[in-house]
Amino acid sequence: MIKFFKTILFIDIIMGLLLTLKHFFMFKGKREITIEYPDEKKPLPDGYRGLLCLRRKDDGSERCVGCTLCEAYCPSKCITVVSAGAENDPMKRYAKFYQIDITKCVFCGYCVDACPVEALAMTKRYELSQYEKETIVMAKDKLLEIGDVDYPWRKD
Amino acid sequence: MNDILLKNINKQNSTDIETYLKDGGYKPLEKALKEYTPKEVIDIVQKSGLRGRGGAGFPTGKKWEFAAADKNTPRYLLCNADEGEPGTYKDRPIIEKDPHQLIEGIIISGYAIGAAACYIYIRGEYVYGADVLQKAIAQAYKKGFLGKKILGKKFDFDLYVHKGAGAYVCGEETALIESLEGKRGQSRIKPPFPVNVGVWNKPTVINNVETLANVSHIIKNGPDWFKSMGPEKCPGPKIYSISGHVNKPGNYELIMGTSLKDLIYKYAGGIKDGKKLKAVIPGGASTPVLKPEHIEVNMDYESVGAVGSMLGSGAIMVMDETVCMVGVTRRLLKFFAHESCGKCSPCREGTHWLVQILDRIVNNEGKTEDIDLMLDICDNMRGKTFCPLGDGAINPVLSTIKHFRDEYLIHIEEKRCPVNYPHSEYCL
Amino acid sequence: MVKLTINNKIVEAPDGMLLTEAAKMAGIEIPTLCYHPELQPYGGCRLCLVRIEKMPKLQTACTTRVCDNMVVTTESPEIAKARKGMLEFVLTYHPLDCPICDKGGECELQNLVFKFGSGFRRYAEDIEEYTIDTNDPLIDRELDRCVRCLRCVRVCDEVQGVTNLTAYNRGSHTEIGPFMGGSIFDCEYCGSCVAICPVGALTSKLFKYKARPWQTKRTDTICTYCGCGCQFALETRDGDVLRVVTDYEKGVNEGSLCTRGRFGYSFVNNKKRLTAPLIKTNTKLEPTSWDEATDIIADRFKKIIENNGPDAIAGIITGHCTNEDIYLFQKFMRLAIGTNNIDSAARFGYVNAMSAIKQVIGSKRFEASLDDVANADVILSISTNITEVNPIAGLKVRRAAKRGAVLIVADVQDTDIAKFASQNLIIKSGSERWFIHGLVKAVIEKGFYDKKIYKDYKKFIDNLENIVKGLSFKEIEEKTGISEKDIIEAAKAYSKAKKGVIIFGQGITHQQDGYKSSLNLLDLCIITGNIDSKGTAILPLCDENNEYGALEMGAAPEFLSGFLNAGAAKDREIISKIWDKKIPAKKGLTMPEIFNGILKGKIKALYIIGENPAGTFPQKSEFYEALQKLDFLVCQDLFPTATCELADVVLPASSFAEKDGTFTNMEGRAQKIEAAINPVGDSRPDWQIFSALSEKMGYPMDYDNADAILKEIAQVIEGCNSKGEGSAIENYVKTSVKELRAIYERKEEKAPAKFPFKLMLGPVLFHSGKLSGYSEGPVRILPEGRLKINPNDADRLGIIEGDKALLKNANGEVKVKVEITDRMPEGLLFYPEHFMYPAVRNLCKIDIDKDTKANYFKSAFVAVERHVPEH
Repeated sequence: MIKFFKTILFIDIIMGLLLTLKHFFMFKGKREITIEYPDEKKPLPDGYRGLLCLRRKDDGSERCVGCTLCEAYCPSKCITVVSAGAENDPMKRYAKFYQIDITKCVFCGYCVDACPVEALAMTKRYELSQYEKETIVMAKDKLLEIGDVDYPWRKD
Repeated sequence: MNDILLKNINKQNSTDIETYLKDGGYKPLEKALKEYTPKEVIDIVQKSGLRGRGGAGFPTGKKWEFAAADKNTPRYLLCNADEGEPGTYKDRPIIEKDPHQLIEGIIISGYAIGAAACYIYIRGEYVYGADVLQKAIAQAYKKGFLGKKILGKKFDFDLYVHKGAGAYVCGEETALIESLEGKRGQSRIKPPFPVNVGVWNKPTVINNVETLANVSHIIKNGPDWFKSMGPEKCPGPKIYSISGHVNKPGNYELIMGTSLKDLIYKYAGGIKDGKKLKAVIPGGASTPVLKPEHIEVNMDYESVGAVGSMLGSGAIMVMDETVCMVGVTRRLLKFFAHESCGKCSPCREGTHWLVQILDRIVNNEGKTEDIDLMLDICDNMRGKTFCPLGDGAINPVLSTIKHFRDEYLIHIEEKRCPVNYPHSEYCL
Repeated sequence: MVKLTINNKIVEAPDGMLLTEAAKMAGIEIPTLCYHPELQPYGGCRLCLVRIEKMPKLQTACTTRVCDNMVVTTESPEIAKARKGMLEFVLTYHPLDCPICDKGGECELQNLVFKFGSGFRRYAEDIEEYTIDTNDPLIDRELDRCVRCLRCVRVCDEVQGVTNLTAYNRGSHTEIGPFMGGSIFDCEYCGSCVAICPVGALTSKLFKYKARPWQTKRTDTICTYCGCGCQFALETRDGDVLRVVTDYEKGVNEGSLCTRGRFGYSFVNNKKRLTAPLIKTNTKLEPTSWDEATDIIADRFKKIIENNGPDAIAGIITGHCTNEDIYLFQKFMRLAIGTNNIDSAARFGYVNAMSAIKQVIGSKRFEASLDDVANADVILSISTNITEVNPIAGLKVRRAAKRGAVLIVADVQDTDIAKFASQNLIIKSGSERWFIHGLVKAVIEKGFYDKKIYKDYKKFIDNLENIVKGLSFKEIEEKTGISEKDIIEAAKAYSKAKKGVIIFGQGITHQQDGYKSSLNLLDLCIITGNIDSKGTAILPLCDENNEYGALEMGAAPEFLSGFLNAGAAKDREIISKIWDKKIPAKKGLTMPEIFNGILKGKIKALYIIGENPAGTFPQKSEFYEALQKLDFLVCQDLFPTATCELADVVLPASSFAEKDGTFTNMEGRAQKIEAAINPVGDSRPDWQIFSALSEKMGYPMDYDNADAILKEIAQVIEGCNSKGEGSAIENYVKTSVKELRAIYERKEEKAPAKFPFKLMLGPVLFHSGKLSGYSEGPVRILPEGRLKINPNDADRLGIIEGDKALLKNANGEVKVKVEITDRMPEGLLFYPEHFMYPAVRNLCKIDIDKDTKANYFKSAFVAVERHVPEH
């Protein structure tokens, strides 16, 4: 009997439409479900493995000592390091050339693990598509730039 | 007492050859050269049961026999006068006061093994002793006891004095050889042993000063006389150097096997100021420490070994109750760390590490786990170092931890020195 | 062989072998740090502790020799603890700076700790400060990393015999440094200490921080500096040669190298390298394409052949090229051009020795080996300065002397090797021939000659006796300064030798009458019976690495490939058959004849490969002028040289690191080299250039690779060997008295009164040839040349160390810096030939040997005065 009335009065449909209507008017609230991606972004968990960057010490000098352990450890062989002695201090080792080919990178984070001086770090950046391939083969200055933003080193 | 090896030291002009000759000196040499063949001399020494007085106690006759059996010539005799062990000064009176006794012993030994020359490797600090020896050797050359055709026999023998440059490790025979050859004072690989491949790769016998001094007496009085003195396994006279908190420290020549108690209380006049005895080191810095309960021990190789220490060179260091054993250990270890030659890593780094830990403990900054750490370091060093220096270095640590662990614990846990005497500066 | 048990495995090993080696043979690993197979056992690190049954303590495997029925355990909890403990001791002060340490990745300590060590550091005390010294030009010392294995000190002493390194201080303060103290090593810079250091305590400045071992590619090849032919491997990355490494098991050098080999590699990547062909347009050299350059050369050559005949073209090749290059060059000249006008750098003197040896031993391949030197019981070294010119050969001599061989050194100056000599004879410069004849005289007159030889060659010895009779020992002493007694002693020692070796160097071959002197030395070999028996040798040292190859390949007018006689129709026939084309019969011109030909207008075009006559000949000489008179000059080189500036076409060649091929060292041992990197710039291997040219000349010589050429060479040499011949010695000993008298002729050179000093130019340890000056390492050690002068001479002239001296003679004057050394005898000066500026070479004049037409320009008579700088 109840089933009959429910059927002829379209109760189920109305109930369903009401839910739709409810969600239709619920623009921005606590129970937000859809994230409007380009405008909004999902908060990322700690330890998210995004784009790599190079960090600096608190005095602004590079942390990287050019030990090439990241290159050795990298499973997709996307890192290239050429180390050299600093010109003013021959005992100081640094990376003369440092490059990560992001097109090959699998974001496994092994390089960060391998880094003995915490020079490499992973940011939470993930939108990496580019029109030109060269721009995401990142050299040292680019990586440092990202590091300066994501891991600020100045004390202030 | 003092009637064999040290009998001449208080005489006037005891270093002069005339004094020595007047007393029947160099007669044993004549006897050895004229009556015995080299082989017979070796037999006599072997029969006498003379054992090396340097610390290891190797039978001297046997050593000579090995060297004499080696066909390679020329052979060499080295006299080890590098008396560097802290607390040991038994060779010094022989060298400085009665050099001819030593020289005669050397010539007889050289004759026995058929050596071409002997080098006396004397400790660098014994400047006076080296001087005395030089003069005595010159006299002996003049009298014809050294040089070509000694006493008309077909026996040429030269004697040289070589001064060391101050390294404890050069008292070890192979390091002594290296040093004598002009190289860095570090031990050599054994085998081959020096009796076969020694100085300049020739057969070499190395004997302590005291050992060689005994030789002329054995020839003079016969092996049975020698054997009748002291215990059967290691007979003969022995010079004990007693130092520390006793009333009369000094060298005491006694029969091998005199008891430690007699030495301290009868001969050395007991503990200073009537204080209580706390510990005794029976044979030089590298031997384990003994407690008062071991004082009845007879001072010969076997008996001292039985109570867990070594006779070593017979340098007895007596310590009374005012002494902090941690401080003593640190002081001894500092010596070993300073004297480690640096050839093998356990000794080089182990001694250095132990000193640093002991430094901390003495300064009341120790940690509870430090004792275990020290024991483990000692375990890693024991039997693994290149030469006996490393093994000797851990003995003070192991024995003091064994016998005086409570003192370590007081330093570590209560952060104070266990000895409450006002002058406990031994600690630092 | 003995049988022993290691870890329950029965192992057979030779008696007396070290336990570590026996275990290695059985595939059982025993960790070691201070042990090195090249060195004597040391037993310092205690890592190799093993349990041997019936022994009270753990024993070190690196000092224990195996014996029968030994039972060894290498793995047990006790041993593992001991290893861990020993590593902990080594690591107490060792800094954990592996990321910046240059040894990271190939560090023995790192590997050991990884395998056997503990992951935790219990040492919490202060770490002492150790010396960190970077003042040396090539070797950095960071002693905080040192593990005191003393491998460096031992290799310096036991293997190199230099004893420059030492350990000082004691215990944990032990440090390593130069024996004389200070921070500059100031030694031979052989680099063995750097190579043998298990950790990063001694590192090479040149390689420092450049790359990790896993980033580099290793290519085995042969050194290009001198005639020793040392084997090493080049480590390269992205076309850059980063360093040189050796393996102690490989090559004649057994892992040792000299400073040029170890540190002189960076010329390969020098920025000054020629990278494109250049042609001269309006007196300026402009880059062009290979096609155009070869077109021009072919056109001009063809035109000259048309107008003046093929003999108007000549070619000179360096001894630094590979056998393949040289072979193809002479084939190109002989067939594509059609002339025998070919010569090589061997003409500067090495040809003297080889011609003499060929004369006596015949055309069979001459072989003397450095092993013979190392195993000899008597070595007679005459005018070699061997430790500087051919350091690895010098090392063999040193080893022999250390082993107990009698070493007799005769040289015009006090040399380094003399410190190992039983007789060090300093002879007056220019009197070498008197000395050699004195030896011959002593052997014959004192009856030291071999009795069997005397029976066989009685006539020959009698003839010699006749000739040397005229020479008195008094005259010899007057000329050489060596007394009769010394000469007789030396002659006696050499003639009594069972394995006698004669080594002679530039002082003989690069001097007037070098050919005759070489023959005289061979006579000495013959009469003492040291010529043919096993272990005996006569070894001329060669300066460039492939001078032997240059002669063997036929880059000389008198030789065809395989030392065949170019003058003999029969010999030409053998080669022609293989080449399928007739070899021109007309006698070719040697190097001096080529230059004379240019002056006379007979030679119109010259093709120079790797040589630099404009830079090496004295500027006042006719030969230098000749270069300007050429119609057409082609220069093929690595670097733009003075000759390149005069050239019409310059072709960029590849260095040894960029090509395949073979080098033949002075022993006659052909060794393969392999390309480590791609040719720099647009340069090409020399053989490819000849191949391309030959095609344009209408006689294509097409080869796929260097191996194909080598196959053809092998075929040719085989063809030569098939030529039967009688014993050459038998022929030689029939030499008539008259001819012998000519061979034993002595010419005295007298210093003119105005120019009392004799100046010699020669190679030095740190530099040789044309390449070391372009390499960073040698330049850092020795950036400029210094005139060596005796202290007494310097005193007399008022010259002190660091002053400049003015050298003067008829040819001009030069200012040079002075180094005062008592190694030089009075009246003699020495200057390294390598340095272009100041141009000391300009003082010399060119002498031409009558017999072999070798040209010498390495000595001059000069006056010296102190140069007062103008204010």
